Amino acid sequence: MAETRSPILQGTLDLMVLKTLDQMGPLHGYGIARRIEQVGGHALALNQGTVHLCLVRLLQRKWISARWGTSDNNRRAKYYSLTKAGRRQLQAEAARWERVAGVIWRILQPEGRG
Amino acid sequence: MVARLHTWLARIRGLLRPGDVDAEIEQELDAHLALAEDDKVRSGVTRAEARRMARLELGGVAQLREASRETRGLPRLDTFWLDLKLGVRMLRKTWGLTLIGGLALTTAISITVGLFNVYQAVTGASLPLEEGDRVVSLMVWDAAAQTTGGVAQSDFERWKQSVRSVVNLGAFRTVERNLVVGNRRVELVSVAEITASGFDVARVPPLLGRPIRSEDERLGAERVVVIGHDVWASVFSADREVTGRVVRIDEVPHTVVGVMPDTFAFPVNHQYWTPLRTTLQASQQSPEPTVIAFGRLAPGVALPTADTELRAVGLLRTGNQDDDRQARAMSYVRGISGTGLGAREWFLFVTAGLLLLPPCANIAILIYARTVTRQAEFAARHALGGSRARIIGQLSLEALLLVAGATVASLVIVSRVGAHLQRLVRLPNGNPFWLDLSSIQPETLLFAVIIAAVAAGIVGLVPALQAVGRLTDAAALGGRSTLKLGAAWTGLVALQVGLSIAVIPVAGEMAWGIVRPAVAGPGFAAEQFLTARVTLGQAQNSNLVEPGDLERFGRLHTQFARRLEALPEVAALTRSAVAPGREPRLEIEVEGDSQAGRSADGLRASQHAPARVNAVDPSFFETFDMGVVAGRIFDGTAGGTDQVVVNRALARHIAGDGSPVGWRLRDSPTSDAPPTETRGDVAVAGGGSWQEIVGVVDDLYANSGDLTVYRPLPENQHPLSLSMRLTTGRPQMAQRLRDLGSEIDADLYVSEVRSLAEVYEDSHRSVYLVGLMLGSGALSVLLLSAAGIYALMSFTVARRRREIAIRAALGGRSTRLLVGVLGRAAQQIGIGAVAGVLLALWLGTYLPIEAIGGADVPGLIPAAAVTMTVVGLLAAAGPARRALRLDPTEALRDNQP
Repeated sequence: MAETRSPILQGTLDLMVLKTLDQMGPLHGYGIARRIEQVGGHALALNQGTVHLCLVRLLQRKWISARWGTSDNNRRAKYYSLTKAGRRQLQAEAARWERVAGVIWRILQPEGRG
Repeated sequence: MVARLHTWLARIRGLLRPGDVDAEIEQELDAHLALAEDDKVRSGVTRAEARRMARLELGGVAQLREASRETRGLPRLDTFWLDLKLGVRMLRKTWGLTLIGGLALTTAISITVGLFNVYQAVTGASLPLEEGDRVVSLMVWDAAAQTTGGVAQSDFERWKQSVRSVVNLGAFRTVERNLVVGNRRVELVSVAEITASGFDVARVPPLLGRPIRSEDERLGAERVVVIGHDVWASVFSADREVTGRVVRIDEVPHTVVGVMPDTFAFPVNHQYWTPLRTTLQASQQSPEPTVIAFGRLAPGVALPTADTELRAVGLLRTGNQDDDRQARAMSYVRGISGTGLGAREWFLFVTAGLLLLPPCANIAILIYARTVTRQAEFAARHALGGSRARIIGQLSLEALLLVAGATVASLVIVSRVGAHLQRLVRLPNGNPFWLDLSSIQPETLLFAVIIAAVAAGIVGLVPALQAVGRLTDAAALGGRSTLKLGAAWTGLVALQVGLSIAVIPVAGEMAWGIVRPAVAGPGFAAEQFLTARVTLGQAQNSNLVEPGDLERFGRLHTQFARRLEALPEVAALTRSAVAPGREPRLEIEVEGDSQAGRSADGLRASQHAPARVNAVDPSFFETFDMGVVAGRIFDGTAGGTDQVVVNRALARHIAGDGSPVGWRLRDSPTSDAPPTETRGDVAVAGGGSWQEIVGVVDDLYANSGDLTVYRPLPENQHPLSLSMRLTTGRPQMAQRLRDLGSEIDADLYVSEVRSLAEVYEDSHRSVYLVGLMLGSGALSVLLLSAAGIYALMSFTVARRRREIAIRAALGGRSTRLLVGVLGRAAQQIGIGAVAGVLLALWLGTYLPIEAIGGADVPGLIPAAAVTMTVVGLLAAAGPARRALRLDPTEALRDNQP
């Protein structure tokens, strides 16, 4: 099955993490990774560790904030949530992604028909 | 933008608290694993299996930790310390290479930076005065000759009225005067005739009394003199009541009005200051006396503005050369030292720069060699995630460490040697007060940094790029580095050999040319000859003497000569325009005599040569025992002003092995005539008309290689140089000569009484040091290049140890193997040697080495080529023989080359 999994496109993990936090509210690293895997329906080859690197990057840019909390099963974990700047960034990135995806889709369409 | 700023701030925070960052990563990854484990246990997996799966999904924890650390810290800074430690460890591990490389670099950088520092100290220093960088000199710039000169007094007066961007505009000139203090002996001293504004410009208050004031400059004002601290201490025994005392300067009583403090020697290196009276019928004299003008930039004005203004104000009377002469404002020191970078200085720098190349190439090759042996290490690091940039950075840092060490050592050496030079160097007209050879000028520091960067680039970056370009993980990871020392390697060896062979002869010839006169000495018993300059009063130039006075001078010096000849100590006496060895250099043009058929190829193109020119009495040649090699000497009584005699060096220069007798020469019309002050000593007959070469005589100074033209001494030559051959030593001769002169006539002024050996030494001492530095540099480069080639070749062969040992074990005959190894080495060296010899020949043809002071040293090129080849072959033979003796099982076990 592994062969059918696609690697994550460069630069899209940030967008996915931001969107996940936007939809789900505060979440810990493992939770974010699980959520992306679920949504991806196992079509994405996600190395969970890279989510943590992504979180460090987003934290440094102040697009997300973090605080230590306790999980449902009483484990200490770091919870991340979207900041205002993060929300703005998400909107901008999502719009950009839509544009790019649209262009790619339009380019692929005639090829697919032909 | 804001996000990037936040990122950087966060990274800096991370860098400042590396422990916190590490702890946080650990906690977070632990939490992640625990959550994942719980999740999997809930879905029915055993805890052990859940833990295994969680770790698998998270990925390599170690890499993650490292990556996270890199993301949180500054991109390079946090790895910098690690690289630095590794670099130091590598340098220590290969201490032999570090030592050789460090020495080579230190030598090369010391020479280059040292020369630059001396040049900077002489021409680029800022004045050690309050706001010394705002003191400027206003000069006449001769664009063609690239030299500065003094300004005519009338122009100075005009500048004083109209120039606005320079304030405290003043001027000075240096004159030699006879000073009498009380009952002391007459002493010839150098006096600055200076405007009162000079003391305003210097902004140094006097220690006692007052400086010169503007009212002192008026005609008819009381004659005053200000003295320096040294003079006050030595001549006046530091008498605090010195002001008001009267001294006689050229028989004129002057009142001492002030004493300047210690270290004050403005404008150049003066200890006596008298008022400059510029208004005195200056413009009626011809040539008009010149002064050196100076001032301070007006508040808020920058030098370029002042320069523009001065150029606009321009020169009033520019004579015949107005096309090339301009009024310019420039930094004080630059104006006074009078020149930009001349061809000779440029050449020295280029040669010094070239000296840097072989050691650099040398070390680059050795580091590359070591890098090649570390391929496996790099490949492993690359496979484990180390980026190429990181590996290049690491290698460059090693080189940078080496170069930085060498640069620091060089700066220390330059400053130490500078301190010695400061004590040794005595410039012909005394050292200027700003000359400080022992401290490193700021520009020198910058220059050293640039040099170091270039050297580090060659030494570190090039091998690093090479090594990383070859990262093929599989092959290198195999441990046995299967990498071939390919074409690049052969190229590097060839470059090394070639550069050494090409550069060493050039540097050697240049150094020999400079050092030879000083090392080999004048070539005859110059200390037996005494020279003295005879003038009418203080007049320095025949133009300043009335025609009637010239005749009187003729009578006086003839009488003087007769009195001298009668002295028992004087064996022979002759006259010339200047003391032999102090002749001015002029560009002469020589035309071959085609009618006489002396040149094989019919018409002969005229050639130019820089020659010393003197006007001499026919007895000159006999007095100095200069034999006639060809033709004859000119006939003194026939007074043939159109006849000249040349020395053997000039004859060889223009006619090779042939004879130039019958050829014609003249002052080159294109030559940039030196200012009359220096040229005035020699009567330049006809001012550019052709003169016939009637004879060739032996060189006077056999080792100087100076090309010399001797013209007949004009009847009323002024000033005159008398040369005497003495039978004994010369106790008190100087004073006796002066006394004899003044006995004949008070106006007969005798100065510069020195032995010819002193004259000779003086004219060669300043360049001697430079030559010595260049020579020792060339020698060190030769040794270092030899060491480098030795190390290189032995490394090359050592890498083939396994192969040689196995072939020997399989029955290969040792002589054949040895020949094979040496053949390959010879091939690499041979390519370099051929290229080097060709380059050396090309350099020898196109570089005007002899014209700028170098001397031909026959056989230097083949000697360099043979030395390098022999060294290379010897170096290859050693490891090859060791390999032959090696046990093959040992060689097979050995992974390292």
